[in-house]
Amino acid sequence: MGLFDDVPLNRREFIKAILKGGVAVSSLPLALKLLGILEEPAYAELVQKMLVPHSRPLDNNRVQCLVCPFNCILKIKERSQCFTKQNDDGKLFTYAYHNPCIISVDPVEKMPLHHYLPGSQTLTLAIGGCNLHCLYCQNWQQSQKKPDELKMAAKMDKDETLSALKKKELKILAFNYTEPVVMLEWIIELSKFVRPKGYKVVIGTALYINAEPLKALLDAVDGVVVGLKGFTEEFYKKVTGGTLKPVLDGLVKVKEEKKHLEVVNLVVPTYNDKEEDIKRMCEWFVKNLGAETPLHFSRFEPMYKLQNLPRTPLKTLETAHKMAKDCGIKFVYIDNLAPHPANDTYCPKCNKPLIKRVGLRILENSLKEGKCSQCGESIPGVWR
Amino acid sequence: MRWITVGTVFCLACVFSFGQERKDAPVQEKEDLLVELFKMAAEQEFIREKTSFINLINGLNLSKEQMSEILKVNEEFRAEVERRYDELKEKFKQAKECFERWIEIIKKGELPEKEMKETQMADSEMVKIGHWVQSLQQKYGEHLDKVFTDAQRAVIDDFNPCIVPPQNLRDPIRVGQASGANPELINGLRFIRSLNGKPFQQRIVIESAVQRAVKFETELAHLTEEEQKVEAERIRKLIEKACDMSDVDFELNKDKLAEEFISGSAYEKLKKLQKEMEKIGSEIQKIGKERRLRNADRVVKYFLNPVIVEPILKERLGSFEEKKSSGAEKAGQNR
Repeated sequence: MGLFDDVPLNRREFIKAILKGGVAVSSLPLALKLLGILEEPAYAELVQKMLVPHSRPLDNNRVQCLVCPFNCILKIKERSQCFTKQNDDGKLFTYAYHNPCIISVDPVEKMPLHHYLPGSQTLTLAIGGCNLHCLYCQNWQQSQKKPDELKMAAKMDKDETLSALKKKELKILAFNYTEPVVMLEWIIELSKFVRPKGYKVVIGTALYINAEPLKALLDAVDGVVVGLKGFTEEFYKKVTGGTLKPVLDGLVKVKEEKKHLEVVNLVVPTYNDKEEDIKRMCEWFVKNLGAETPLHFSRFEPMYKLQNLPRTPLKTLETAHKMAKDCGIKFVYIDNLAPHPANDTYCPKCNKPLIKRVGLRILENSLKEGKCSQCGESIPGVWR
Repeated sequence: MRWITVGTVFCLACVFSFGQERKDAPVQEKEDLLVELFKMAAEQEFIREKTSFINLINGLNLSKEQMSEILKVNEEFRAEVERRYDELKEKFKQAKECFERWIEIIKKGELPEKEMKETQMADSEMVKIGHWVQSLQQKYGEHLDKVFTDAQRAVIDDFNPCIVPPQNLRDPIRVGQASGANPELINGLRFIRSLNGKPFQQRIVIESAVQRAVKFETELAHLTEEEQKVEAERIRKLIEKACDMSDVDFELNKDKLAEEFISGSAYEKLKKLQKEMEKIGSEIQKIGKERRLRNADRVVKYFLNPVIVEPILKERLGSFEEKKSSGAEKAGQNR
């Protein structure tokens, strides 16, 4: 006996049933859309784009981006290494413009900036994309995507940005989490608008950028945190996809331009934790950036493509900290590991703890107008 | 016939006594089971305390010197208590006998003068021992308090005993990392906001979120029906407030909203109240006659407990030494 033996179904009824089914199936997307189960229309339609000044046209409608050392040469509709720039009809456009995927109010210590208005909060913005592809990136969900693929948190043009700064009574506009270099044009536009009104602009960057755009970027900012990811070309090539030399050149340039600078070195077990490399880095640091530039050793956390590694052992960080101090660097910190005495700022002369921290929180700040409250030693930084 | 009668009586007696036994047995067993369960609960509590202590010291990043110092203080505390072992044992024994005698007396409804005085004396001896222990805790607590840095003390003050370490110790917010505190909650609010153009669907999702939150809280804080209604209304309003915000406003205030969501919950309120009570308790101790435990009370609570602290820190310090010696061996091999 068949399953449908008892069902009286003649040819006419059969065709009717098929038609009904067809209508039902074809109207399913509409019904789902009405119920809101189907996704929103593509976000890309909402994205604005802007011409990239640091570029040059080539033959056959190709165009070259000159922002970072990759110097991508792009054919029509091709995207750059950093996911943000595209050749549209022989012109280079950036799609990282007014469309942050991250808008947040964070402590300035999260940049990390320890010598820049401690205890203040920043309005932090980030657009998707990055020109480096670090295997351990902790924000890879945003940095390794096209900006127009990510959901825009809110449209942030200069008026919206200023209004947000005012609403939250913030004094610092920050660009962090992804790579400011790939949103250079937007940063410059916002900076030109807010800095004359008394706001500070700071960035957290890997500084993988060519000399000319770097000059433009530095003109637009007050403070820079640079992630110096390692100290060998091999490490940069293997882990970030970039090269070390442009970063070192950039760091020297930041110092020359007298911008507030703090450097972060994420210590990745077995990758960049060799004592001889750390020592060489510290020696270079003192020679080129000076003993007064703060250096942060940051603890690695298994992330993204390096989940097979353990966290950086405490001892490794403490050894790196000691080596940096022995090299003469005056302000050396350990980040992402709290509580630890190396979270605090000490007077380099009398060793009094001046700013006590637990993680990103400030417990006590005994600095008096940028000077040690005990011996009067002047501490480099922006304190008000 | 007589033998038949005797046999019957014997059988009945057997059955009766068997019945009696069966009737009594569960009572006896029940008592034993209860005692056994209490013992197990006490054991479990001890393990919880131990686990919690490990979570705390993992989050403090104690140096070898600090661990040695804590261990030393605990050993001194233990030694000082154990020095009076025989004397205290005798006093406890005497007090126990005295209290047992007193129980038998008051069961009869009597209050004889002599025994009453004896009992009061025994009780005051016990109170004296308590005070002595408290004074030791104060003395060693002050030593312990000096071991920790300000930052470590801040972590100890915020610490709640736990089996699984809390977010701020397990996975603290890192520098340069985009996500902040409460990412799941913020993403949930984002999802509800994404339904802003679909009021019907949004309402269903809001109500389901409210119900789940209230159910969760009810389990934790044993809310009454009335409290559940109030809590549901609070959460509903908070979500609606998040939905009414502009994109920029939501992004600027998302952490605050999440904080409001959590800190306003009945469970969190209870926790806060508990902490306040703890504070008041220690304030009372500070200003009262029994001025035994001062600022160091939380440090004493967690770190002056030789039974838990000593074996754990000894093990840790042992592994320090092992690492050191294996490192030295390696270095020797490399040379």
